[in-house]
Amino acid sequence: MVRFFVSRGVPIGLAFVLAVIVYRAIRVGFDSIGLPAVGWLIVLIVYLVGRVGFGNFFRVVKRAPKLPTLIIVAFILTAILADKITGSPYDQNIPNRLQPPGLMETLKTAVREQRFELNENWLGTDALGRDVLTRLVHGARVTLTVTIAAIMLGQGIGLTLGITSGYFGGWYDKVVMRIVDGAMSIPGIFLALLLAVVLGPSFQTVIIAIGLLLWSRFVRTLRAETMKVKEAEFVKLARVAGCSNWWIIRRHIFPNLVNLWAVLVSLEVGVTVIVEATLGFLGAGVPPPTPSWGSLISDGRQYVTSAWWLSFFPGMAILLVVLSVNLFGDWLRDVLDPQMRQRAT
Amino acid sequence: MQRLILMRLFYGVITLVIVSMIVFILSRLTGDPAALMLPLDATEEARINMTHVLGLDKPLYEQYWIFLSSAVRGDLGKSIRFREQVGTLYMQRLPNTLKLAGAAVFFVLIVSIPLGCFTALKKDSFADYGSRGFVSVGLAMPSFWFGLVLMQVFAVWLRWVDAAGMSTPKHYILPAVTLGLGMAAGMTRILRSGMIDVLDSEFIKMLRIKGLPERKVTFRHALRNAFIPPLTILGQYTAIILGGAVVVEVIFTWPGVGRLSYEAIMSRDFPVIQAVVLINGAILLFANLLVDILYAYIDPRIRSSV
Repeated sequence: MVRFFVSRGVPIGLAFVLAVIVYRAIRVGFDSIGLPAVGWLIVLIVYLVGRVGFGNFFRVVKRAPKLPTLIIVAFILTAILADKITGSPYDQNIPNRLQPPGLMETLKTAVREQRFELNENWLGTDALGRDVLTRLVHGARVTLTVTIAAIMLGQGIGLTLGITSGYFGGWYDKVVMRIVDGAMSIPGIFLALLLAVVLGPSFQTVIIAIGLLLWSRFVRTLRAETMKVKEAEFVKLARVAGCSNWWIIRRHIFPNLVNLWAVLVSLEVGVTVIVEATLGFLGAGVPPPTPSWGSLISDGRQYVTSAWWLSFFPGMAILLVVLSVNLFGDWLRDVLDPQMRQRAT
Repeated sequence: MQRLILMRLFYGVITLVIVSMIVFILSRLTGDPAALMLPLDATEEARINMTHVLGLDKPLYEQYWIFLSSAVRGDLGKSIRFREQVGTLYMQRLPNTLKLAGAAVFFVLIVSIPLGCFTALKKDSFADYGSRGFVSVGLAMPSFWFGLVLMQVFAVWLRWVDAAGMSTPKHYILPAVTLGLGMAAGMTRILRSGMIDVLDSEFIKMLRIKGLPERKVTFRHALRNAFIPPLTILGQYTAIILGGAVVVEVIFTWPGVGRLSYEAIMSRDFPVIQAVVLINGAILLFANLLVDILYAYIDPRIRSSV
């Protein structure tokens, strides 16, 4: 009973609680989720440590790429605790508009006048006198929320269709694969833009648009792997022993896909972050005044000659996060699924 | 070989029908096109009349059938915004996108082939680490931001090139680089891993023992064998660019297919959206077919096996 609870109940429970947290973040507001989110992270880490053993956990974590992991952790913590670290991203201060980055000014005075003076507004202010750093920190929340929700949606659809179509085959498989082909032959950003316009700009729209862009990628790979696992001896034996399809999928197919699935998820995170930012940039993202990294860049675009810092720092943030996530994903792939290196090409 | 092509074509047509259905349903959800076409102060009567003229009062499956059957005959309908045949509109924009695609693919090839080959030959050298850094950054770069940075640095500060316009070859540099960066990075990575595998194989050692010059070993034998996975990717990339490099064309105000589709989506010009997606689907299908045939050309084993 305890074993069952730990091995099945906890992951399902964690996923459910994560969904609830994301839902609350979108519906009630981000400030309400700080504590639950931190609690969730602690439970996750305790669970992982308990699952693989204390020694194993640290042996693996020690080999993780250091800088990317650090950046990812920092990104997640800033997103969760944004309102504790900085003030409100909506506070305007018109007389103080379009101030250059304070850190740069500090450096200038230090070099020219040999005087150290820490300025306000480390990364400058925008056209309404709002602090760029504050908006950047709060933008991380949008990115993180959309990423988690869209990937949960996309991989959910992809996993379900991929396993069932690979396992049952036949006309069902043919229909699913044709739909996947169809979805894949529409360029991703085009589909997301179209959906965003059709459904009207909102948080949910962005999540649905990106989720529907991701699902087809999961179906292809997971279906191929399911077909391979299905041919294994133990699946045939399970069928001879009279196991139901549902039991075989749950107990024999899925456990063999978990690693591949985790790798796929980690590799799609970077794509999701970029697509979210692109939608924001093109004006089909989370509606203003909520700051998202994409819309920060597009807001700064008209001041690009006079106030470069408006677009530069959000772009840098996207680049750093995506780079870290990709490097982390590559590492995870090497740990969990060494064959995938070949399979990917 | 012929059977393969026929099979692929058959599947492709089914895929296209599905694509047309998806887009048809999506674009009918965007709101009432009749309301968009009329002036704001139009009467209710005029609206009903317009709905009737456009055939929007018919049931959805009948509308779809009309759309599909006229699309097969080459009539993709009229743009709501430009009051012009969608086909003509598309054809006006296509050459611009083709030119941009050509420039981008050229950039991808001149960056990735030397880089991929060289780093595979000098594995774990300083240059290899540098190129791996380039690959990681290139894959993580948000292209809309990269385009803005390039514009700011090279067009505004250094004044080496112009930011917008397309009259001289100079204008192609920034859009092509922006568009090609991620693709060049992806190509380099795949080419490098492919080259490393091939260079490790027996026949390359044999050629070296035979005394063939290293240049010939690399380019004539190794590269040719390592080029199949990159070719697939290149085919997909080209098809994606032809389908409209939406982001890059919007940033550089490039009058291509991507900007056409962006404007169409933003102004809910659904005949244009449908047409662009359908034509894109067809191009992608054709590109994949072409890549399959090219495979057979490069690798005789595939030729004989089908």
